[in-house]
Amino acid sequence: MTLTRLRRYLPETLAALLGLALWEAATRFGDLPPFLLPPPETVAQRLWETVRSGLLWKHVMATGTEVLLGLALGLAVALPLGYMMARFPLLERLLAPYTVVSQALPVVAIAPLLIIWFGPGLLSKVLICALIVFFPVLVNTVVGLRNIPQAWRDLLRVLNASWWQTLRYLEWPAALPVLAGGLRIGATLSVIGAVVGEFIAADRGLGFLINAARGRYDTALVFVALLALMTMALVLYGSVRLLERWLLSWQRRAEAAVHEQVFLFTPELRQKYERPMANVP
Amino acid sequence: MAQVTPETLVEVRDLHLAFRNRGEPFWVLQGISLTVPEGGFVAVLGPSGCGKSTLLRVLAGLLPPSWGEVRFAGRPLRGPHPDIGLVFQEANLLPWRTVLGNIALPLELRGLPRAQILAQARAMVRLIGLEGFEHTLPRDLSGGMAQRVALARALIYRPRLLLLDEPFASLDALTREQMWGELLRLWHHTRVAVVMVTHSITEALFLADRICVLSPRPARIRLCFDVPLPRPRTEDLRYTPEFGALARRVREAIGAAAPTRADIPPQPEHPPAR
Ligand SMILES: Nc1ncnc2c1ncn2[C@@H]1O[C@H](COP(=O)(O)OP(=O)(O)OP(=O)(O)O)[C@@H](O)[C@H]1O
Ligand SMILES: [Mg+2]
Repeated sequence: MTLTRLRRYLPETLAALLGLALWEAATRFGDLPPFLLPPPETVAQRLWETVRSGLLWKHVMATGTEVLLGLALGLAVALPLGYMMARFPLLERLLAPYTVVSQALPVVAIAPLLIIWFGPGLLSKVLICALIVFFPVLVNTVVGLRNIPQAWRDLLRVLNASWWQTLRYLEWPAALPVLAGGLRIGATLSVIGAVVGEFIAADRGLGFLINAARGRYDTALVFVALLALMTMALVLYGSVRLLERWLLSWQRRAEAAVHEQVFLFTPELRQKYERPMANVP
Repeated sequence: MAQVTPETLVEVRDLHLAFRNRGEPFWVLQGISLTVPEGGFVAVLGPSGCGKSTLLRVLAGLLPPSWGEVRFAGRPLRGPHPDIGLVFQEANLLPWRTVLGNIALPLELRGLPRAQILAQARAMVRLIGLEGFEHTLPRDLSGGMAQRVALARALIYRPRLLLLDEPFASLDALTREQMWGELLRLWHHTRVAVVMVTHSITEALFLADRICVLSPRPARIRLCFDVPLPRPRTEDLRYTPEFGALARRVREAIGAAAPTRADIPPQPEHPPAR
């Protein structure tokens, strides 16, 4: 069992080991000073220290809180607003100047302004994350709702569904695949938002840790923080994918029909099935 | 048996419908008048794109008339009505709901108790002969099965009027004829009034009490007549001279509706090419 598992992920495992070996080789034979590229074992050691002292955990928690709160806030504003915009085109036109300008402007460029206004604490980081999550989710919500076929809307109208029932029984499930795409992008962007905010002004968080370690030429610690950031992004992305798979399980079941499989019989199986079939008149 | 004149269920009077197209009217229906008695079966025939689906959408209360009037059960029809069912041109099932879920949808929207919904939906599945497919998703159904599910979804809340938009157009000839039998059985069973749009003269004659032929867009009524064929209608009926004569009459009305093309000889057996 474990062997087949290992075989299955053989290419991925090999690629990872190769990267590690190259890194090791570069530090050993490349004659680089450790502050440029610390060897893997130094990084591992630093990782162990920071985990044991609780330092890493403190910063992971800080960034994680910003990311999750920002994501939640961004979704909480973008989803209802997107619904209203899809429903009332006038609202879309009223908001167009803002949405177009803010889409053209890289949101991270507004980050310093938010820090001036809301201070270097948690609030400004959450706002940066929320803002960066906001637009992809908003756009996907509007697109997802607009693309629902007229015939499905007619069906719900013929059945005298209220607006709430239409939302629950039609718009939510029908737009979900597109919404999930928005959430996936949003989750990734949210991490970027938090780190950028922490680069500018903060006293905790992985962005702060990277900045502080860089100032002390503690490159191993920079690597540790990057590793933590990577893990966090992966966990977040994985959770979104899991949520998506769970919510859209019907789609996978439907896809199974597309990737259809013919039942190929072994001689023994064939004997087992052929006999009862022969008895059918 | 004493003949009682059935009550009028639907009354369409001088119905006009135009879509707005850059401020100009785009005419689809002009001066349509027809009535559907309680429990009656009306077939609407007409060339493709003439406005048949649009007519059904008006009858379903999805579109308001540009002018003219639609009365349902003695009252002007204003918007969708709980006693009207519509089966769309394509089965139009919700792909994330199973067969049972699609059939149950109208009852769920009415907030009936869970157990009752399930019991009725299962009874409906049995009625359309899809036992064993309750938990199948629409993508795994054949065209005929999907149409039957769509029919069941419209019948489950026992509407008084059932609007059918070419429900069997996508089926092969054999399945289609089988579905005629099933539809007649269901119709007899439920005494629902039916308005059915179709391209097939045979289908219209075999099923309906009354046939209305529409002209090309903008649709006007070209011909409306009662089908003087006895019920119950069986397979054999279709090969009688009476049936043939009626088919010819409808064909001529439709032929007059199309731009005259003397070079094409009339083909008595088949519905017009789309
Ligand atoms: N919502 C709409 N807005 C504008 N024009 C429309 C709309 N719906 C239909 N039409 C037009 O009205 C005409 C009639 O359409 P309709 O769908 O009623 O035809 P039909 O008789 O059902 O055709 P078919 O037999 O091919 O189904 C067509 O020319 C179509 O382009
Ligand atoms: Mg149509």
